[in-house]
Amino acid sequence: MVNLVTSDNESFTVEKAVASRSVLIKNMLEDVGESDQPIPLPNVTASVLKKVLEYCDHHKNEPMPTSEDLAAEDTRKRTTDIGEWDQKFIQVDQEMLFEIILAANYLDIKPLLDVGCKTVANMIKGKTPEEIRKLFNIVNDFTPEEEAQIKKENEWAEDR
Amino acid sequence: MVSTFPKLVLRRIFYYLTPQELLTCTLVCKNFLRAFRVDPILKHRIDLLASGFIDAWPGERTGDDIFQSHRRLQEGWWNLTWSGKMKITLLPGCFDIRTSGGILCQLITTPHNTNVLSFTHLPTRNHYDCASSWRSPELRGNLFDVLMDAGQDLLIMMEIKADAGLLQTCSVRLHLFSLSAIKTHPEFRTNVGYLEHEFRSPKMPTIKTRVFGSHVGALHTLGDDNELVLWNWRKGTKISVLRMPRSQLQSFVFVSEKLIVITSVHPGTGVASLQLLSFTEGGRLGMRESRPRLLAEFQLPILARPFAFTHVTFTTDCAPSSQMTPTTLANHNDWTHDARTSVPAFEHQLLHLTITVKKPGFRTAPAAMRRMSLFVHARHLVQFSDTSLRHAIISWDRWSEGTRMVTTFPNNQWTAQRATPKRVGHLHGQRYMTLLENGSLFMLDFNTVGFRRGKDKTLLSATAHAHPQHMPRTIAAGALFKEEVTTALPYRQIATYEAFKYSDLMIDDERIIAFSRAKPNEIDIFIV
Repeated sequence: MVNLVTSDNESFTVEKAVASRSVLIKNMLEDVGESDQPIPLPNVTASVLKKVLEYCDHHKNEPMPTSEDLAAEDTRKRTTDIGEWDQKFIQVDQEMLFEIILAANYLDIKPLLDVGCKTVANMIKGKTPEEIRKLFNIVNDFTPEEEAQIKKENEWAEDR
Repeated sequence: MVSTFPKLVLRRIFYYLTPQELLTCTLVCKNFLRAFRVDPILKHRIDLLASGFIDAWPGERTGDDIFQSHRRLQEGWWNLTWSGKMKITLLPGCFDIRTSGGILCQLITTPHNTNVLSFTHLPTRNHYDCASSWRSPELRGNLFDVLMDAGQDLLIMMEIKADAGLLQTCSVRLHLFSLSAIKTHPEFRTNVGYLEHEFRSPKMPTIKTRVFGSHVGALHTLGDDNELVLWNWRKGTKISVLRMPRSQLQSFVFVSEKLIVITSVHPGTGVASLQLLSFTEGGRLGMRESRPRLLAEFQLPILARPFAFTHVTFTTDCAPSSQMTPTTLANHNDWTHDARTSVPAFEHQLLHLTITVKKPGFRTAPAAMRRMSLFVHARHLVQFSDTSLRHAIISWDRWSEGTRMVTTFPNNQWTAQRATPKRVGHLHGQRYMTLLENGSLFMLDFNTVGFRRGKDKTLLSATAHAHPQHMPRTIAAGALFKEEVTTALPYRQIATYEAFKYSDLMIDDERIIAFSRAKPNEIDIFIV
């Protein structure tokens, strides 16, 4: 069993197999060796970690993606299809979704990160810049001149 | 909050977008634009959109697929990605399929116990549909096998007639048709001719046929012997009949129109070798049969201990559609088939040998069987023979040394332990593909055109799936071979990320044809 302590000082005790879905934790465990010392996770809150551990627990029996798989990832065909369970899992409010993505990034859980990124990509698909801004509550930080400039740059690509 | 995501995360998200969607995203905010501008891959996609690359690829493909295709064009095959996927449901009664030059031929048994051939154009990179299909009338008689060579517009239907009389003779008849003529005249009145051979055999033999250029070869077993018949199908003449003990003529393959290679095992010593034979058409007008001449004998590495059983066969399947002549190309004008892509030049032809050995004492335990794959460059074999036209015995260290022409793989980690492995390993041109035990596709790519030498470190880190192997591999002495065997032929090793659930596969120059394990009548076609 592994003891994880979140930023808000809650501690979770989970199976090693579950915690090891995170490459970060897995490496830590390997570095530390057999020890009962709690592992601090200063970037993750309890509510997010609970959710992340739920994912890890469900996927604990799947083979870990090897470093080769991961390195090859950016050239392999990408689809935005998400597995059934994952889809249900990721049906959370936007804030939680982003927290999960950041936590997955920090904890280095590539499959979970992918699920999150795919979800965000699916949200972006088919929307105008204004709609995207509205959706994610992003402030348009371009000046009108800059915006015109980018539009002009993009034009050759769009019209061809 | 999205806008404050680390750049790496943003880029991960962007990778799932099409070029059009990416363009939209650049207008959202500065952070999006920055994440996008620093990433060469994302930038490259927009460049593709700008270059009009996308419209050249019809069909339901996203910019991402096109991006992948484009990268492949630049780098050769790296990972196993495909630009299109298509499902074909085989017709009821289909018992086998053949493919050549982008045409799929289904061999069908009808309820009336007759045969029908159904032809379909497979999707190509440029024509992403397979709308046109046509079929033959019901064929009476005993259809044994079908051989296609779309490059030469040739269809060969093999028929075996058994005479149950005293002599117990069988005759095999190869009916020749023009493939394109069948499309326009499906009643099969376009018979170009036929080739025939008669032999004595109490039962129907298994026949392995190959076609290369104007020559057709058929190997069948007669008692303890194997017989190889060679014809010239254009002239309709039999060139030669070669009959040898089974161990000395286990399989054959054409390496040119005049040269064949046969595999043989010396019965006393167990030394396996490849024999290069030249055959010329004897006499005036080629009316007389002549015996092939042995040019060179290439001895394979000597096995470490006497095995009870050694079997060496070619599983090469690259000769069809290798000879594209201008005259035959003219016939292809009305076809959607892209002729340019389907010419594996002879000089790059790779031969795949499967060496099966069995330890003595065990009967059929799979553990006692060992299979090795050996890939040989045909060009090197031929070069060796050209230097001396006399019969020469060339030992392994001489023909492998310095030529970097051979590579071996222990096969036991691969599948092939299935009930009817029809097409477990498949070689086309310079790509060998097989199924791993988990059903994922595994490929060895010997096509070194896109191979960037001297940069192996960067390649390895960039796409770790593809392992370029430059260094000679050494098989320790005593493991399988008597001496230490060092082999090297640059290749790339490619595997699919997800496990594919396929039971069988075929490859040609631009597609993978995979047979669904769950639904045997369904095939998936990946355009690569």
